[in-house]
Amino acid sequence: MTFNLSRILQSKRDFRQRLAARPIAEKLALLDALRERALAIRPARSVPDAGVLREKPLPYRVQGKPPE
Amino acid sequence: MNIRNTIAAINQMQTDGVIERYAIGGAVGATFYLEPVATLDVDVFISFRPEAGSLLASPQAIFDYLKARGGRMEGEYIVIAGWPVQFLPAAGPLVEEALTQAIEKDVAGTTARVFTAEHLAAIALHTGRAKDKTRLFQFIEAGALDPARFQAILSRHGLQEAWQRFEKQFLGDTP
Repeated sequence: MTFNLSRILQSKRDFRQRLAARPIAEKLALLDALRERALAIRPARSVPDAGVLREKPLPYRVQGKPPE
Repeated sequence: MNIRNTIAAINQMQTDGVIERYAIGGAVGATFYLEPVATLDVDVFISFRPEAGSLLASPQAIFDYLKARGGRMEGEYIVIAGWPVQFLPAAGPLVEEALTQAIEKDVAGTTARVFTAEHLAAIALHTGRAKDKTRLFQFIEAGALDPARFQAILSRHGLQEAWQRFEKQFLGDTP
């Protein structure tokens, strides 16, 4: 353990590089875990918009053609 | 909740002809090059196939396909294998190019089509929100970008001034 700030910052960079270098399957599994944790600590939504069924989404414009 | 299953489902959509071409962007796309960062959704960029007899393309076919297979809508998202997925049209020359030049990555036997690191960084610069600037800085700090390829993208899409501002603001004292 150290209180040397530059060594602490370097250590953080090294740790992030090691994480970045892990196999993609492992990193995606970490994304699953991070999302579960984020959802667990997120406050409940006050606006009841979750579950709204959007049957007719707005059409997107086709490249090069004007909308009707 | 398993993002590999989400990617497999998107691949199946492509195989079944519901989408022509796709590429993963956003935080999930960045995870292919950087350390994982918490995110709540998956951004999937696609080229829409116009419906017969219409000049307009609609994502309705995607919604119908996924609903028939148990997909659940949540606002503008479709939940696939526990992950909310947002299908986004490749709007604008930069994202269109990113979609065209996206690369395939192997995820333990599952193929995922992902934007290149350079396109993800250029899109982050173009979008310019705080979290995008953070992501761009991460790409630079991690040495994940091919400088020549990145500069060529910036040049093609008129992002050189934005890049100079970013450099001045964030990279001025970088060793």
